[in-house]
Formats: sequence, C-alpha cells, structure tokens
Amino acid sequence: MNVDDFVSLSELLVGIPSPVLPAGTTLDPKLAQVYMDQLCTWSVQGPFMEQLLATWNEIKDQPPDLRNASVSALIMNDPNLGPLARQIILAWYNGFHPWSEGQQPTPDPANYSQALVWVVAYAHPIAVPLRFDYWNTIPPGVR
Amino acid sequence: MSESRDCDVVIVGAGVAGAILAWRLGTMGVKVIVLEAGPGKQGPDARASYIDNFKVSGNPYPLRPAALKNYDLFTNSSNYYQQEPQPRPKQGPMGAVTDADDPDDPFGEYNIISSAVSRKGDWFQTNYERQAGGATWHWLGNAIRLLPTDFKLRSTYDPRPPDGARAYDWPLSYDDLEPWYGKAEQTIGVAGTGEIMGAWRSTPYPMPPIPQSYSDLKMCDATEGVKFVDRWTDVSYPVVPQPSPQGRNSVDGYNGRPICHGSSSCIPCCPIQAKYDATQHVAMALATGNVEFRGQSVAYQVLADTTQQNLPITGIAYRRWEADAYGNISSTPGVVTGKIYVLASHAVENAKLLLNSPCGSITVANQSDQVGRNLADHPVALVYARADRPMYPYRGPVSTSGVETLRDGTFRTYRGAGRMEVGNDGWLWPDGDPYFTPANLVGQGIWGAQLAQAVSDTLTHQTRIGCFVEQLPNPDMRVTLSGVLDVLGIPMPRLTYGIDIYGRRALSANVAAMVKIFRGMVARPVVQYNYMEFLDSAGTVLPDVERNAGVEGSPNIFVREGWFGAGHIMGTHRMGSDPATSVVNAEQRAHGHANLYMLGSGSWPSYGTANPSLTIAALALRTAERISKELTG
Repeated sequence: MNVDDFVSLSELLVGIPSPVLPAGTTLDPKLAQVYMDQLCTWSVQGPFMEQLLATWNEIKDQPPDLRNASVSALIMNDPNLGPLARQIILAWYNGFHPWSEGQQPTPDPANYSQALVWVVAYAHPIAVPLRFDYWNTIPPGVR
Repeated sequence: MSESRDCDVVIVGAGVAGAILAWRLGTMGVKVIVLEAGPGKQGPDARASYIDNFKVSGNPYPLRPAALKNYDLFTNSSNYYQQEPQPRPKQGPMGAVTDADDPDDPFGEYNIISSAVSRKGDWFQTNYERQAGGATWHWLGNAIRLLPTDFKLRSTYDPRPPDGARAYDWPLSYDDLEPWYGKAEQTIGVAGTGEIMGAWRSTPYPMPPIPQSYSDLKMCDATEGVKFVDRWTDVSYPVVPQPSPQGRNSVDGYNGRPICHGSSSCIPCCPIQAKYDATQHVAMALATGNVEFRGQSVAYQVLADTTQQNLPITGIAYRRWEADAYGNISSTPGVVTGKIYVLASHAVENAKLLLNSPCGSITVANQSDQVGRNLADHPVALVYARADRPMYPYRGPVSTSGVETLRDGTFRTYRGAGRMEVGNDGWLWPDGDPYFTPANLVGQGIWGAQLAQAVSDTLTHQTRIGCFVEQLPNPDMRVTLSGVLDVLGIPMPRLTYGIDIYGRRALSANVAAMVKIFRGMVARPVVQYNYMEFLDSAGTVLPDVERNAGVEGSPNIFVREGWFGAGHIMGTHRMGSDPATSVVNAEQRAHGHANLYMLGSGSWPSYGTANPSLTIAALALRTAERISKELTG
C-alpha cells in the first residue's frame, strides 16, 4: 500500500483545495502513514484498506467530475469502503487516533494540533497559547 | 503509627480559601500546618502533564486514590467521586429517583459521583478537585462580587414561593465586605472595569479589563436597544453583554503571572497560569517559612473535648496515603494539633468531615442541625444559536462577557436572579464541538469540498450563552454520610439535591431572556419562546424532546434540555448570628466551638449569582485578620 495514494485520496475526501483552507494546503505524509497504519489494525474496516486504495488508483486520474462521481459510487456508498473512508476523514479533521470498535474516539496528542477542524474554524488548537488580545478582532485569513 | 505536631493553626484543604489563609497567616509569623487530601505541591510538570492529558482525553486531571471507593480500584470510572476528571452524567429524566449505592442503579453506568446523586431529586452535576489548588485549577476565572441585595435577600424582597422556601440575610453587609473584596481582587489579580449593579467600589481593579471577544462585540451590536420584559413584574431590562471581571492577567507580570495568551482552555486548565489558581498561594505560603504542607493527608475527624464546657477542638485526625505502581493503597493514621482549626475543604467535604466527628450526643458544630443542609448550586441552562453572521468562536478565554442586568430586580420576590455568561467556546459545552460537527456531517454522507465548507460554516457561526441562576436554601437538600466507605475507610458523602421552584422559575425566565438575545442574531424570525410552558403547576420542569429540535419558529436557536451544574457548591455550614439556625458566625467561626472556623461558600446563607471564588477569597482574608488578632491578642 502506497502512502502517496492514501494522501491523494485523503485530500480529495477532506476537501482540499477549499476556500476555507489556506491556499497550498496539503496533508502531512508522515501523519498519513500514522493514520494508514493505525487504520489497518482496525479489525472491522482495516482489512479493506488495500481494496480502498486499489479502487482509488483506478479512478484517481479521471476528469474531476467523473472522478468525484466514481468516489461517491464506488467508495462512499460502498458498504465496506464507505465506513473506512469516513474514518479517514474524521482522523484528519479531528486529529483522532483511529479507535477500536466500542471505544470512544479520542484525539491523539501528536495529531491534535494538526487537526483540520482548527483551520476551517479559523481558530487554533484549544490549550495551545497564542498571544494577548487576538480574540478581539476578526481572524487573520478570513476571505 | 500516630504522629502529632503542635502549631498555631491547622488548615484542612489547600484550595483558594485554605491557601490564601495559610499565606496570610504565614506572613504574620503564625505557624501553620495544612492537610491536603491530594498531592501537596503541583509544579510546572504537573501543569504540562494535565494539558497533555486534556488533548488526549478532554480531561486533564489524574484519578486520585483518595477519592476512590473501596473496591474495583482503577478498573471502573464509576468507583471514584468528586474529582476531575468527572465524566458528566448524561441527562436523566427530570426528577429522576436513583440510589447510586444500588448496584442495579440504572444510571450507575455514567454516574461516577456515586453518593453525590440525589435519591429523590435532581442530578447534582457539579464537582470539585481534591488536590492543592482545589477547584481553581478548573475555574472559569470570573471574579465577580456579590451585589448589595444578595446579602439581604429576605429583608429586601422576602420571596415566598409556593414550596415554602424562605430566603436568609447574611449577618454582614456588602459594605462590611467591600474593603475585603478590594483586597481579594489585589490578591487574586483581577482585570476589570466599572461598577456592576450597585456593587460600589472603594478601589480600582488592579488590572484593566480583558478585551471582549469578536463574538461578544457582535452580540453587543445585536442587543443594543433590546429589552427583556420580565413576566413576573412587567419590568424591562437591557441585555447588552459587558466585560466580565476576571482573575486572569491583562498585564504581563502582575502577581508574577504572564499575560493571557488566549489558550481557550481556562476550563479545565490554563497551560501558562495566566489565570489565577490557588497553587500560587500554596507556593507563597511555603515561601514564608511558617507553613508546612502535608499532602496526601485526608482529614476524617475533628476531635472535640466534651469534658470542657466550651467544647474546644483538640485535633484533626487524618490518614496519610500512598499508592504503589499497582494501585494498592496503604495509609497511616495521624493527628495534628494546634490552637485554632480551620476547615477549608469546600462545602461537601467540610460537611462530611463535621458529620463524621462525634461531639457528645451530636456532631461537631451541629447544635443547629444545619451542618450539611441547604446544599445549593447555581443551576445552568444553555441556549445556543447558529447566528446569521460569523462569530468566530473557539478563540480567547472561554468567556469574556456577561449580562449582569438580570442579577437583581423586584422579580426576586417571585423568582431567582440569573447571570448570563456569554461563551467564546462555540457549542463545546452543549454539543461537544468542535469535534461533533465534523462527525455529524460526515455521518450525513457529506465529503470533499462540500464538507470543508459545511464544517467551516457551522463552526464559525456558533454562539452560546449560559445562565447561572439563584436558588433558595432548602434544608432537605443536604450532605449526609453514605454507608459506602472510600478506599481509606472514610464514609463517602451522599448528596440529596434538587432545584426549588424559585430556581426553576429563574431558569425559565433566563432561558426566555437568552432566546430574546438571539432573536436579533439568527437568519429567521423567532416566535417568543416561553420556558414556563414546560413547568407544570408544581413547578416541575417537564421533559420535552422537542426542545432540542430548536425553539419554535426558529430552527437556529437551541435550548439544551435540562440543566448543568455550575461547580458552585454552597450552603452546607451557613453563616448567621443565631446559633439555633446557623453553623458559623459572620467571621466564619463555629457556633459552640471558639477555636474552629469553616471557610468557603459553604458559609453562604443565600447564594446570589456571582461565581463564588472572589467572595470566598474576600471572606478568607477577613477571617485571616480575625484569627491573627485572636492569636496575638
């Protein structure tokens, strides 16, 4: 399994590029390796990672409209691949350590600050100090 | 093996009251010993560890053996109590009847406070910490004075709700306490501006105010000229948020603390200690050279000499505990003796300790039978909205503004007052955001660029207000001793708690006021929403599942079903001039025991709507002077 495929699929799933993300936003390949490895250990959806990336490989070079339709039909609506794809999205957005069945999702301290949710909210990771008074004005980067 | 050591003053508990008292007495040359149930010292490493824990789990504080039941140690979170981290009980049916000691308790799965749940009342949804620094580790930082009328609620408004509850006046006035408020603001380090609702000031705030947030300013714009009409009196009130006095630094270096960096985690923990917490006074007390801290030392009995007419206190019995790497607990008993004894372990633990202390045919300081009674909180209702304009929450201190105008008025003859806290934390409190929204949208099948836009739109438009309302004292709401012992063999507290009609009416009125505020901030017009519709003739709030679907007429305003605890535990050893109806006098000295004092909001005979910490500190400073005079003649 190729982590580059995991990254390119992830970027499409989470919405890169987007007007609410800074121009040039990309996903960290090292973090992608962490997420991919952890999700592969997940007993229910993990075994489908290889099939997911193989499916992505078949459609990733299609024209954008056709590719998106293929992702919806072949991945998001697939009973096996869809849940795994959603786990990938949540891992990137919430910085979650992918969790085992029956356990509560919890952020991973290593991933916490890189969670996309802080970026699209024009906020910052909670409990990470910034500077005095920044909260008094509109966030930088708002277009 | 027992140990004993003479000192001038023994203090139980190193929270805001105990730590400030120890520091003040230490600076006067008074020899002090402090017993603290948790670790006695918490350094920078502990703070960093807490923050890492928070990022992983949302809960920063470790589980302390001293708060454990005597079985299943470390295997089940339901086996400890009254300590952060505390998983919040889920909303149960209103008026749920539950016996937490019952193994078949249907709520036991998520009721970890065990005996701290009402048998015949409502959930007691508040908590405290058993470690040096106490609840100031996780306090919001609002440092707000009580109002002059809060000290004389009965003589001013004489509320007489149909459940028969009555208000009580304090045996001291706002004017009596005002100089001590000024000293407390200096001691804590409070940033603020202006006089609030008649709470006059003889001294300025030591620091300029913390700037209001961007979302506060948007709400100020939307509420300009808006009036809330109280249905009980037909009096209208403006509802514009104003800057809150806060115990966090707007000046770098004041009291040795850094300026606030807006970490947005005041609750549960400030990562840089820009927000005051009582570990600051623990360190200052130790630096005097006159104060000894005994950490991991849980007081369990106040010893009284019943052979003497004035029933002097002769010692505090405690158990010092150790935990090995496997969670096995060992403890040794001890007794510490002094001339004066001060209980400063917060309202629940103070009452528990007293009720576990025999004194002839009764228990210590309980000739009035008021020890443990009149347990109260400031019940919280939340209203939150999706505004029609970006608010950009999740930035800055958790709250920087409040609506103060509904804290006093002639309506208090009929219903309780309320203070509104305007949140900068989006829908974190009611909905667990920002994590909930991505999961919710992904669960709806949204992905890709549409998802990014939807998450951004939802989170940036979130806004939230909470109201903290006033209850009346009720002797049936109380702390008693549970039959369940903690791991040290000490009885756990059992709490019986409910919200009286006065408080329920206050919730109703303040929810209506909060909805009124949001009417100017949502995309669609809102039909006037009357929370009283959810009260039956007895004043009981009825469960209403529709409420979470949005206020009638507006799908963008939400009232969180039920209520939350504020963390403001009050009233279990109330203050008064009559020993027949109160536990301590105006100086917080126990009736019937000349050398015993009790500090904290347990002393409050009525509760107002101010976050308690500043008043606790003011009263502690006042009592410190009283004790020093007593020792020095």
